Amino acid sequence: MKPDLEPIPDDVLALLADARPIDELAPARRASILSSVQARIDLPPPDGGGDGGGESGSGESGAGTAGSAPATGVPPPLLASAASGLTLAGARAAIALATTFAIGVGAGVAADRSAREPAPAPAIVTAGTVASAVSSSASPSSSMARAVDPAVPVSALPAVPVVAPSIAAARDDSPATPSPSSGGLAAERALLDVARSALARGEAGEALTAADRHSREYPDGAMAEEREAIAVKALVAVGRRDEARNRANALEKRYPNSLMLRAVKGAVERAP
Amino acid sequence: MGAGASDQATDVPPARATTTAPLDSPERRLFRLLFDAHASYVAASLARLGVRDADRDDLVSEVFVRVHRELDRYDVERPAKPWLFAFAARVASEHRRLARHRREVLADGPEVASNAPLPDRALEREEAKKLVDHALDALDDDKRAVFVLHDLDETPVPEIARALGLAEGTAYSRLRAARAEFTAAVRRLQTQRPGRPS
Repeated sequence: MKPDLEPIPDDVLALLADARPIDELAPARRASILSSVQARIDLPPPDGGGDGGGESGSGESGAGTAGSAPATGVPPPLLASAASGLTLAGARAAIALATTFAIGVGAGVAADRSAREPAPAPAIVTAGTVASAVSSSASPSSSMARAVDPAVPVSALPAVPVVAPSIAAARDDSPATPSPSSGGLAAERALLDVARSALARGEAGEALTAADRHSREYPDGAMAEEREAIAVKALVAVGRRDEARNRANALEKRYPNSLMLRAVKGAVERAP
Repeated sequence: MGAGASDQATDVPPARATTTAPLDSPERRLFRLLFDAHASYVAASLARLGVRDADRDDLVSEVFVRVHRELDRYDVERPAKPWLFAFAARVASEHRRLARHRREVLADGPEVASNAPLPDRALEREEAKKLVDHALDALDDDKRAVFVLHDLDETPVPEIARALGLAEGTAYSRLRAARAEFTAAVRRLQTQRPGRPS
């Protein structure tokens, strides 16, 4: 069934053709987005990857749209075709990934660098090595700064061998509500999820309340850096620009290498 | 491509463990592939769906967090972009509805339109983009999504229908209406501001 479509006038077609190319995200912006995504998905509390608990009002029906795709699991052999089906950048990233994850949080900058220096054949890393690499990333924000520290030669870091348990086995299907017993990180993250999702909805006041609560409960928590970034954006959004600027400056002092600085300063500068 | 994939979601959940994915899991690698290859596309799609630049990074994050959550629904035999677009469309639509973030026309043009002088051709492109963005604002969310996927991303209608969970006939009728409304909006904008806006 293919009903006739009215053709689009030529000059409008030309407009569309001009509007078609996609601007690549600037590397810093991409890295800051990635760090924010990873802060939400990488911390391994028992409540796992389901962010539903903290996402009041925004996550309930995500499956409705996405669910129309055939719900096939992705068996490991298909991963290769995923990689080959993606762009060259994706393929390069595949090479970089093992290295990147070995240093914990995969900041885009590090991935870019390691992509330019093709990783040698992945060394087999003992479980102990991986564990220490992982534990060093327990604080995602500060390790992010370390990950892009030029003093750390990425190629010198051990690559993680690609062991492929099935994706299905790796999925986390536990309930999404953070449990009080799940430890500081989970609770921290849940609180920040509330702030972040409120901010994304435009409820800056609510975001600020959650960020303030985080400040009181975890003043030096593992996610303090991210909390400050959220707080600055929320302050801008509610019109408290001076406070926002002071807090952004403090953030810069405390985390001079923070990948969030650009976004945070941009928010302050754009403030009316 | 993907002719073998069944159209109906059989919804047999894969066996799952209760542990979180290890840092080097295939799931994470797949996720990074998607992010690295398509973050810019998602950002551009959100812009085309009317999300202002100031809000875009947060919503790109939101899209990818949801993508991560639904990763086991990703069908590697199908193109990734329409699948990702469906997330962007939902996030953009929720954003607008919940936050009453009406797009402020020309409030913040694309960041490219800055001080650096652009060659004529690039300038023309920027003007075209702005005009297209404004004309897109005339469409409601449903028609806008179909139109962007079809006439900007050049996605075939059956693929659009699948990604957005629509009947093909519905996708076609939205596209037809969207094209008429879009063209009318372009004409309106062209008469409102002949030549280049300052």
